[in-house]
This record gives sequence, structure tokens and C-alpha cells, in this order.
Amino acid sequence: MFKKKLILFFIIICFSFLQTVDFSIFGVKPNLALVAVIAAAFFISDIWEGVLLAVIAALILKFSPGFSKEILIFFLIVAAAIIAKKYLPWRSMINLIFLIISATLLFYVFSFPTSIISGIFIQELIYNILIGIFIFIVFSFCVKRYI
Amino acid sequence: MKKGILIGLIIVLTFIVFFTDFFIPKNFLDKPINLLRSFLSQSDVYKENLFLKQEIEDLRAQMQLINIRGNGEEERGKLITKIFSAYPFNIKNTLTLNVGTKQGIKKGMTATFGENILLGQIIDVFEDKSVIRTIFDPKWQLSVRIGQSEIDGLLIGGIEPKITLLEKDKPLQVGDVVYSASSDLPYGLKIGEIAGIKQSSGDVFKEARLKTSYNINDLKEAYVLIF
Repeated sequence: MFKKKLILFFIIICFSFLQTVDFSIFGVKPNLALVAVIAAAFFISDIWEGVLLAVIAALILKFSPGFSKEILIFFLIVAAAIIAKKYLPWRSMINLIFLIISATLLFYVFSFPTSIISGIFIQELIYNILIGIFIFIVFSFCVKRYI
Repeated sequence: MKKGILIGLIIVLTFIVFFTDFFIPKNFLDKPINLLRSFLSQSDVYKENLFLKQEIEDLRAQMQLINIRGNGEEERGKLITKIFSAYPFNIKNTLTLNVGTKQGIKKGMTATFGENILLGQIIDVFEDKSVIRTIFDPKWQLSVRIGQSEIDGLLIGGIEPKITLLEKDKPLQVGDVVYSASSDLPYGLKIGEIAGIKQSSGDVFKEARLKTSYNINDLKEAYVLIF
């Protein structure tokens, strides 16, 4: 159990740092920290552990001194997604895709709504869904095989 | 008990993230990234090539500046700074530098790549850190001039910056140099070159794509112009 949590924390830290080093696909940065925390939420039972993952990701993403509106929005949306996960009725994979779409959309709505109609948003959304599914499959594999 | 520790930890970390100036500088990751890059490109050729390209582009921009303003250019002070971290989302494009009010940095100062290529403008200053908005920020707009014929245009930032409001009848060519012409910035700083021109018959103005002479992800240092 402890090993599983350790792996989840390690993966969240890696993905959050990867996002801060300007990792991009065709110039568009996927929200790696967001999808990693949401995917990890499916492997933990305690909501507080999920919130801790979200705050660690926010700490790593913080890019300058002072308050950042986008980091707060990120944290609140991810925390809300972790809580919402418990109440979704579908299969895990559908829930994951639904949460990633909702979280990405809400992040843009609250931080820069005019860019929703841009190609960047659509590109990021597609990358987020694909990376989210990939992380979920890797997590599932690791949990079944090694833990 | 365990839950209490967990909640306490969340509260402490939340306080650090949202109510203190603490953040983790990301430049410590430069070494492993460079190592990975040099491993992937088999040698240090990538790094050397990058450095030489930067030098050439800076010299080109300097020649361009002399053409525009003549040799009687005013002397500018400059500060070499390290780039600490970059904005992690797509919405903006900002960089955090390792200089602040202690080093005489003020809002509105110009940041360059090399000495003569415009990178952005200081938008936020702290005691020993400052934040620049780069030309890749979608909110960035700037008056520019293009080429020897000094054609006026408006630069709109973004992942792919573009020049708009270009008069249709003005002669514009791919490769023409784009430089700053805003009153907020030093005149004549190179921004990039025209990479493509878009013109449709119904429009009053034409648009051009901009190609910058650097890759923002490769930048480790920036200059801040003090004048």
C-alpha cells in the first residue's frame, strides 16, 4: 500500500516538473500535472491524499514569487475533480475522460475564456485525454503487476 | 491521527503556495536536460551549434540596428540574467528571471536575447526576481516596422506570433526583418523575420507570420536593458 502511494507521488512530481520545463508537442503544452493527479485519484481511496497530490503539483508548478491566479484555479479544479470522481456513475475509463475534459475546459473558462475557441485549446484537450489514458493504463499495470 | 497529519501538511503546503513568495527555481533541471539532449544528439555539437547560432543572430540584429539608427546610437546599460522558470500553461508565456528591485529592475524594462533581439518586457518585479512577458504571450501586442521600407504593422503574440494591419499595397517579402517601433521599447530591436504572407482579396489589410531567430525553450540567459 505504502509502495503504491510512493509510486503515485513520484509520478506526480515527475510529471509536474516535466510541465515546468517547457515540454510541448507541436508548440502546445499538455497539462501534465492536471491529468496525472486526476488519473492518480483513481488509485487512492482517501480524498485528502488526492488533495495532497494536488497541492504538491501546485507547489512544483508555481513559476514565480507572489500569487498566481492560474495556480489557484489549477488547484481548485483538480481538488474538485478528485471529490467529483467518487460520485461519477460510469466505468473508470469513462469517468477519467469526463473529468479530464471538464477540468481542462474549466481551467480555460476561469483563466482565459477567450482562448477556448482557439486551436490551442482543442490541441491541449486532445493531448490531455491521450496522456491521461496512458497514465491510467500505466498505473493500472503497475498496481496489478507489482503492488 | 494519520488524517490529522495529512490535513496539517495540506494546510502548510497550501499556505506556502498561495501566501508566500517561495517557489522552486527550475533552472536546476537544465543540466540533466542538456545531458539528455547531448546524449540524444551524440555529442556537445547541439550545444555548440546553438551558441554559435545565437551569436550570429545577435550580430545580424546589431548590423540591422546600425542600418536603422546609424552609428550614433545611445549607450545602453545591460544586465545579464539567468532564467529561473517558465509559465507552465499555454495561456501565457512568461519567464522568471533571477534579478529584481535589488538589482535596479523596474516594470516596463526591456528583456533581450543577446543584446539586440527583443525577448519581452518586465511585467512584475520582486526583491530579487522579476517576470517578463515574452512575444509568445497571446496578450502581447506591439507596434513594429518591417524591412528597409519601414512598413508599419502590429505584432500579435502567441505560440505563432503574427504581424497584422499591414497595408496591402506595401511591398513585403519573406525574410524581411521585423523590429520594434513602440514608444515603450528601444527603437529598432530585432524581433524576427517574415516567414509567410497571407493575403485575401476581400481584406483591407494583409497578415504575415513571424519567425524568431531563437527557440524560447533553449534560452538559459536573458539581458535586461537599463536606460
